[in-house]
Amino acid sequence: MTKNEEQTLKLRVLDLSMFWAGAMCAQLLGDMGAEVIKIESCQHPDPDRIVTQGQLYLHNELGEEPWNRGMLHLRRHRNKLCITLDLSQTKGRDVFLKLVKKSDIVVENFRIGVLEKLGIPYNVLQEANPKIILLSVSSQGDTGPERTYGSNAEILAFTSGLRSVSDYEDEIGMFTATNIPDPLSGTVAAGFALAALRHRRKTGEGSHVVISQRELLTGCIGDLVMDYSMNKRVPGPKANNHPVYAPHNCYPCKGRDSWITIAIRSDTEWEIFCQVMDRLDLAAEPKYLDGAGRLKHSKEIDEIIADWTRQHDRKELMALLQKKDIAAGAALTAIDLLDDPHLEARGFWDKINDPRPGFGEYICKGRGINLSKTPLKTRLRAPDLGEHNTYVYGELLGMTKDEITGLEKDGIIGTIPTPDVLKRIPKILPPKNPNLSCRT
Amino acid sequence: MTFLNDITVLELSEHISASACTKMMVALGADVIKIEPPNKGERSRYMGPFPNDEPHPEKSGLFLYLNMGKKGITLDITQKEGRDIFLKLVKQADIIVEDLGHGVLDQLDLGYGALSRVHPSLVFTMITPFGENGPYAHYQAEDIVVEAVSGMMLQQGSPDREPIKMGGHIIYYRAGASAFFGSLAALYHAENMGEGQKVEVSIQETLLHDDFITIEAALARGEDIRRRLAPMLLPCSDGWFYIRAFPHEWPRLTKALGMPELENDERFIDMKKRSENAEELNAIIMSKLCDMKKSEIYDLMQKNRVTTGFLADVEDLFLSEQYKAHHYFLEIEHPVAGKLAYPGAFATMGDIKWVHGRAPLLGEHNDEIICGWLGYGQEDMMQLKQKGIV
Repeated sequence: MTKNEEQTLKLRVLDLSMFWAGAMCAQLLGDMGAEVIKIESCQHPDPDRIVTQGQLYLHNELGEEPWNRGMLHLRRHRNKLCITLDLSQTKGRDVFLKLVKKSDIVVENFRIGVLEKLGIPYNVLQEANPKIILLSVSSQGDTGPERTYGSNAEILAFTSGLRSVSDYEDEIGMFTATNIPDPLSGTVAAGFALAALRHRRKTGEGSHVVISQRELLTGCIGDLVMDYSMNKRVPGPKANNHPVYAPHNCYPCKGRDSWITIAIRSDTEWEIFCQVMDRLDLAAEPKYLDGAGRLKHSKEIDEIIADWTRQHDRKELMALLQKKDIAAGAALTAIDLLDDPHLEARGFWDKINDPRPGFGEYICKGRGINLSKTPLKTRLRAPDLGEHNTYVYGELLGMTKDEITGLEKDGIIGTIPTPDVLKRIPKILPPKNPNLSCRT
Repeated sequence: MTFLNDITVLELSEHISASACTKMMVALGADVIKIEPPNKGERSRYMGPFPNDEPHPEKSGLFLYLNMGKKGITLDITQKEGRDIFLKLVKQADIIVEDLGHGVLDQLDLGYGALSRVHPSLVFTMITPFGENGPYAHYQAEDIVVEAVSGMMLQQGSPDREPIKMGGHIIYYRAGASAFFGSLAALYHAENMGEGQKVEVSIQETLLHDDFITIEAALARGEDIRRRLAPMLLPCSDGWFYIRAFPHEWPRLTKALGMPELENDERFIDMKKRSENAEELNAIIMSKLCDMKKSEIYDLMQKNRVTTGFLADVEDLFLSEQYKAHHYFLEIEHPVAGKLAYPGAFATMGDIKWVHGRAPLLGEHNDEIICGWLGYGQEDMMQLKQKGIV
């Protein structure tokens, strides 16, 4: 699978992005069948190869080339080829522009100003290829007084307003560990890329799309923003409470840190729920009869429910309640999910068989987007650093062996990170849990 | 000229995500026709916020925002004549997006199988909490339930308290983004090959996909990662701020604080040391910054290229100079709800304009679509109205 044999679309994408947002956009286009060329350099490989948070390397082994084993790298760059190219050198820049001539889309998520600094802003790309489409998955857009400000997912959750409505009501506690902002922006950007391609097909014109991740995320709490527009009210956090439904919360179950969520949405559901709890007295209680009453007394109802849920196993309780059509969900752990019969039946997991020594079989997460006729599937495992230099520079750009060797000598291309990057790779990894209960 | 200016999209939405998906298609110029049940309209009309907290189906902030720029018709697709009209509309559409719930359209024999027979190149996009097959497919869900079952919820909140959900309806917007991409990927194929298909988005899988590292940590080391301690949010004169100094940003942070001597201070020499001595470091940062405003700290740090955020509430967004410079909030007039500020464009596309508009009143475009597009006469309409079909 090292060559792009199964490439199905006549579409070439250059992926300049680092970390996740831009990478996600390019990956989805690769999943569709486009030829995606991820551009890194030996001086600045994608941090996901090296400093993967939590130092997660495949099978918890560093292997001979740890920079090709970072687990986030293996997941985020499926269906991509990889070349190295030092864009900060003039020669590197010239080679890049030759590639732009032969490509359809460029994806980047640099800080605003970096493309200019590298001498490859949109107008320069356009000179090389008037039909090029540039996707800038930026933090703040490319205009305005804060355009050069940087962010990551955590920061965006703060500055977009999302964090101000996601928390307990009585303390500032929540850590938004999930990284929704990156994959959200990347997914939206991939949709915009397809829309821009459609426009190009009709008009012959390329375009430059600049997404502001911060504003996109604010848009995802747009309905709460409307509360301010309408009532000059600043919405605050509501923990697990719902504006209309009650009970609606997360309840403790048997076992340490074990929880179930339950949402009761109608009087009928309340009655059924009381039957399941074997508490017909509650079903008959006048102050709990309608939604408004339950909302008013939700604290005391929550305590009653918690006393009941504590006696039960979260997964058994989910099955029991769902059998009665009550919206209930156990809070699953990663290990639960890896063994989950539903995800297995759905074919969610992407099972990769990688013939490289020391790699073998491993699992990546699926995508959650299922196209019936042209499925998004893994044709190519994530590439080694510079793995496709020969194909891209030799075959695609028609450079001679001598020219390619010249680039290597000048440090413009290569397959091994520079010594200062290698220094950042850990020497040993934290141990494996001997009670490992999930499949690897 | 817009990116999608000759595309017609039908939307059937009860659970936000289909509306969030087609909202982006409107922005790119598509004609989106929202189909609601007669008389009552869709569920989000009854969800707030409302002006003065007085519920009104034409004044729901959620509905007004999600449906900006769409056309709206009412149609009872459970009755034969309504169904016929629906099928005629389907023939004229490129994409249909629905989130009515598991099996709802199939029960009416209006699922992908039936619709693809009348329109083979149709893109049919469905969003459900758990997907269309598998043991949980029929499970009842609200966002709190899907967040739990996707593994997301155990990562949110304080370690010593109950896990909590994300605020608002963000997971539905997130699933809508997947449906947006999936629909356009299928449209790309349909326009090139003349072949339509079904696009199925599972919200559970979307959220699990978005998980950061917990699955990888379980696979590599059998680690069971749960919610961790809150990040270093520090108080200042008017709120909270947060500094996430990456290793290469440490020297810049010391400079921004006006304390370059800290750079090589043994107590804070690397990430490990800074984390061990976090309390001491926080005290130093606080001593320098606690009298400043959150926006001043944000500007100071960002101008020194230190990745920093502040806990912005919705009012802060209205005050943001950046949002003002982008004209992010737009005033839009609505015949019933009046003039209100809405969140607007989050992207620029060179000369191509972002399409804005207001939400439709219930059944506002019945005549335009059913008579104008499909050729029904005024008398037909009268009868349809009497039978409660429109």
